[in-house]
Amino acid sequence: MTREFELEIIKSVLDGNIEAFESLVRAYEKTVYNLALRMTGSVEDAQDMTQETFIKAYRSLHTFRADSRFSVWVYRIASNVCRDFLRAKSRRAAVSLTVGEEGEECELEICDDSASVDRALTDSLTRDAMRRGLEALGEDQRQILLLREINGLSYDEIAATLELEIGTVKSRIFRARKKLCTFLLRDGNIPDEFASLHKEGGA
Amino acid sequence: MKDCEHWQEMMSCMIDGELDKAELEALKTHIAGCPECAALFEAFSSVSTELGKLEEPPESVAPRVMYAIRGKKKNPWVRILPLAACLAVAIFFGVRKTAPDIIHDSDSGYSATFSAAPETKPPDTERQAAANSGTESEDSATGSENLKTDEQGKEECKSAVTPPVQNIESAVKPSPTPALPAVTPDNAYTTAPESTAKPDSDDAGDGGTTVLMDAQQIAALIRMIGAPDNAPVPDIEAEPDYSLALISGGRIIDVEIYIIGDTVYVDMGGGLFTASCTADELREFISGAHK
Repeated sequence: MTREFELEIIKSVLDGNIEAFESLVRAYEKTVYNLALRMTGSVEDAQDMTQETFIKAYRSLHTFRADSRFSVWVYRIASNVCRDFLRAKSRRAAVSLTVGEEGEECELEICDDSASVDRALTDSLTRDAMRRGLEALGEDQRQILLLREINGLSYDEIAATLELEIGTVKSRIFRARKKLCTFLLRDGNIPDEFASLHKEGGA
Repeated sequence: MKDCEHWQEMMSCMIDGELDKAELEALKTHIAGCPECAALFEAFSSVSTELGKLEEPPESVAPRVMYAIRGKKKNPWVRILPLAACLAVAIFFGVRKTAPDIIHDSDSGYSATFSAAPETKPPDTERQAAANSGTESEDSATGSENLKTDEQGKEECKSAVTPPVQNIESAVKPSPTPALPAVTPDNAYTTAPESTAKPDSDDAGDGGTTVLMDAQQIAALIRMIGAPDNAPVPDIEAEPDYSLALISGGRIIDVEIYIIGDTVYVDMGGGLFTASCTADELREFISGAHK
């Protein structure tokens, strides 16, 4: 769907053609659902969050400004809906690494055995492992990484969406990504020799 | 390694396509000579690929979203459908607590009643009525235990059905067509003699004979007739073909089902809407539920 067409649809909806909104739902529900799925870790919750996202989007459509992509705007809503949901359920991740603006501590070790890393990831990146890894990131890191990886937002768009500096976006995504990789490697599905090397590295 | 931190952050940017050409070349040179960064880059790439694999949603949310934003009469199924999984839990409770003696198929653990209108009342109508009222629940401890076994149940659902979930069951009362087998509580799963059902009173609970229907079937039925659809509906003056009563914690949701041609219309008191299944599919399902 081109941006121009999207804007036409939005105008049509705002002019009273409610039915036109359905094409926007269908265009973005898959990515919104996957964002919600990765955020909540539950198919049922993800569906509920997807539904809520679009209902909220419709109700606040008049506030949408054409200077950003509709998708970016919707993903922001989805992201907030999921965060609100998680907070309401007090289901925070077990480990929340608070990432500051600059240079905070982040104890992560990566083994230098690229074959092992690749094999470990290939073998163990199951959905469940990924879910646990994402949970371990904490909300802030999970949110920013998913906006990039699932929704494909650029750093500029993420910065605008989350009201952060570009440098902060870059730093947070890097730390989230690195921590997720480390978590997945530590998750018990890696070869013994690699695990021992990893342990020796002080992880 | 601390020295490589800068390069590693650049690798993350590279994965995201956020490097310019000069940065890219410099990074590639570094990666070629640094095994640690090369390993991390592989890991970044693998994770990125994995995260980028999108799953198909189980079903589109578009119908539910559109129904909600149209601002028309609230479709109660929008509320009921997400609870389908929880109904299984609740149904298990209800039947186990209120009418354990009529359960023949305890293997599944989930059961509910499914009633058809007979020519005569079942011999144990009073007992069934008492069961429907949900006033008998001596086995609450068992019920709690069972609920805990369903750890995957959603919290909201649990709270929705947990407070005194005394009985949830589905009673479907067919009008003249189609002829359904009449069964009594005692032969629910074992025999299904044919009978010619005829219209009964408005009270589905009192008039119908009862067979057992497991929770999976209940959920399937809800999915069949529950899909919200805003297709135009006709004015229907006929008597409903089926009456369905969902009973939960003393609250009864009455559902009337009409069949016009091959189309199934459903009324939950909030207005008529078109079900997703065809008339034949519904009849086939109901017949199957008696077997």
